[in-house]
Amino acid sequence: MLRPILRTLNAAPMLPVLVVVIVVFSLVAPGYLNPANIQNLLRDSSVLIIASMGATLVFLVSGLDLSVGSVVAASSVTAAIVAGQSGDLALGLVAGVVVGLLVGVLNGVLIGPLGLNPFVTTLASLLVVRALAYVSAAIASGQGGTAGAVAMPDGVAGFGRGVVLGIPNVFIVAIAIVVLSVLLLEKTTFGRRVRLVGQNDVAAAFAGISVARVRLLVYAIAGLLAGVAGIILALRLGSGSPAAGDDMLLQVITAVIIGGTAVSGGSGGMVRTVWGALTIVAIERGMSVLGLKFYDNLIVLGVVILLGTLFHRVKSGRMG
Amino acid sequence: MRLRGISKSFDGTTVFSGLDLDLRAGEVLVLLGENGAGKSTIKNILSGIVAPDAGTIEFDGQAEASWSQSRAAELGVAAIHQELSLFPNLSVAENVLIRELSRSSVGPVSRRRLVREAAALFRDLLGVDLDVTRPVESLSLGQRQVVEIVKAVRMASSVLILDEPTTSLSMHDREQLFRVIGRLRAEGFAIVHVTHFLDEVAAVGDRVAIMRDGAIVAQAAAGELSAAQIEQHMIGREVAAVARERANDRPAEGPVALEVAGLDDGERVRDVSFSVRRGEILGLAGLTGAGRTEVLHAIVGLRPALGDVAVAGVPYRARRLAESKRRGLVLVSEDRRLEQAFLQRPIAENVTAPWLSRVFRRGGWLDRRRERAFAGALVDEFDVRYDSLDSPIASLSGGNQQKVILARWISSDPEVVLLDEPTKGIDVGARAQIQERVFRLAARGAAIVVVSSDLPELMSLSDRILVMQRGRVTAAFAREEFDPAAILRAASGAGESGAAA
Repeated sequence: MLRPILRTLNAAPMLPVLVVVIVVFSLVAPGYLNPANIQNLLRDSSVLIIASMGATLVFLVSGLDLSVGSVVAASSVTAAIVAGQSGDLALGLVAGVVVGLLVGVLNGVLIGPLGLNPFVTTLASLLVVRALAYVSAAIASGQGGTAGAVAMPDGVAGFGRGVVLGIPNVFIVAIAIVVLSVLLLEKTTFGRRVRLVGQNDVAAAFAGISVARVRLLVYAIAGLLAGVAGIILALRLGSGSPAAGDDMLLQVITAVIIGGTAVSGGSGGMVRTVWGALTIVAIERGMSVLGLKFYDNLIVLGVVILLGTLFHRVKSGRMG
Repeated sequence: MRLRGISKSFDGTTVFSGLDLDLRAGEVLVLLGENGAGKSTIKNILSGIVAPDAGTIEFDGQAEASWSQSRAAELGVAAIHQELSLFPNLSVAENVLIRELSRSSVGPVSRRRLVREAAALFRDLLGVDLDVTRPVESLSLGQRQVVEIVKAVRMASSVLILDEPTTSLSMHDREQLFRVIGRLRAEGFAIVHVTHFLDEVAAVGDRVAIMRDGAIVAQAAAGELSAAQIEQHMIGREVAAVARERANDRPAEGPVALEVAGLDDGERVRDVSFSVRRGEILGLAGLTGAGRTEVLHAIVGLRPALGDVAVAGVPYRARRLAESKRRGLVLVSEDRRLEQAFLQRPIAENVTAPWLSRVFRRGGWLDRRRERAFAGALVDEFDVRYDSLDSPIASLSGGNQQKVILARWISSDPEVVLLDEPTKGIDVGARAQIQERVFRLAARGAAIVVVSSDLPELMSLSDRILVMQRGRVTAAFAREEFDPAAILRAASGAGESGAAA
């Protein structure tokens, strides 16, 4: 009786919290559970989930990627610019993903083979990429100094808003990415090496594992996934937005941490991050249904991080 | 101090019940036992960290109603725990006087007074002049242990408990520690010395208590029991002698498997040359810091060095650890917790970590079924005691962890195996098993180089012993010439004062 419950709790520690959040909001906010709102919830969470998969991998190798939000924004802007200029949507989407991969490889080379500190390295790339996104958006939208969103070609919004069997297209993409990420982490030798390096990088080196190469690949994959998140964002909004990534970083880190992946590396997983991301978005949707604003969201986000960490501490204390 | 009828259980597992133990002022009690025998729990009860479920604790003839850490500290009972508790970035003086530092939270700390007091402590207690302004992180493991001891002695006034203090110490540091213990005994301390090392009974003990499975199975004055008797009490069966029996069915004169010529890194390894034949066990003796570990690291490519290495006659120039693995040259390094074990990862993953791409890959996918079968068979063969292959390796005792690590490296049927302190900090039973494994490995035709600071062990394992001092090989002994005194002389040699600093 107790055992399956404990096992579920262990695999998805945020699941009961998500349930409580949804129940509470459905009681205080009428209309919270109607299908349109649920669809919006899934749509909103898609970009976050995709970007968080990469971030989870980075956390597992006991690293940190602060550039994830900027890369999401830059990728969406790139996709919009390239698609707009060439008239070829596919080319734009590829360009967006390539931008993410390039930043990821750069982060990875600096942190892996060159051994720079992840915090410092990705702080630098956060700043540079963010500035580049704003500058190119400003030039492309022809607004000089103030950077606005760059519109995607017409017809794109159809995919971004579309649903299949009531499930938003973008959410289906997100779930596909989650499945691939789970396979990568749990079923490949690379995924195993990620966990081993994250748990003890000295022992990994003594076991003949190329720690630098594992790190390089992890950051490259994280960049790639941030790029994918960026084009999904562009498809969903119908535009590339340089400002979109500003609180994406906070959301991504929050999703990974409250999901239950250790900041210190080694332990954690992909699926638990999904529950973390859904919890954040469920709270945000609820707040917006109640008519509360962005700054209130930040307060709630902060409280959620602390409660989530406390929750994991209590849980691990009780369960040994 | 006196324990009467002490019982303790954790999570339903009884550690011991109805245990009696006396500590007397001016006496050194050596507490011996395998891992898991209950030594650490006794230490924790004595120092008030753990409260017994039943039984009484008496101090100075008075029953202590509520024994606690603060009460123990009040009465001058101090313990040195196995895990060092020093702050690596603070100086020796600050570490030793940490209590005084934290007590006067207001007002400046007089640096000069601090340094003076700490230096005096080292002089008085050890007769050593140590530069107490050095940060602890710049000290060797052995020196840190000495600092830890000075720190504890400073807080103690009646009872001092040492939990395996000699595990990481060189022979020289060990003797120094024993002198300190002798001095404290003369001052009237009751000392509990918890250890694995049988020879320490004779070296420091007045009385010996042997624990097994939560009970004290023998108590006697030191010298009343022979080493063999003590071993039998500790493990309760007659495997202790196994290690001493040489397996004589090994190939006597195999071809050279490892050839090292002129290995030199300009610092810790100076012009080291030797060769090891298939089936041969070569021992490297020396003090801590003599360069033995560094030689092993240089051979597998963990440490850049000039000179030639050849494995099975094939020259091996661009040395890297991943390449060494491929050539059948493996290193089981000394620091299990830091360098070998992935403590929170499952046992199975710990076994297979180096062989992921070679053994368990099917086009990039991990072959989990094969991995489990492989790891399961190995840990069973090595007689590892475990609940589940999915339990973290940290849940095993030190000896079982070491068996898992050894199984990991031997599983590839290597050409050459380098073992750095393979039985350090593990109990007698596991030690005998591991030594037997080493013999069997040699019998199978592997060439083995073993580093051990336990000289009797090294002599029992090796066919040949090279002695190192300050990076150089200073002497070589064939098996029939083994003589502890001569080996020690060659290891410490001239200029001993330098090694002590």
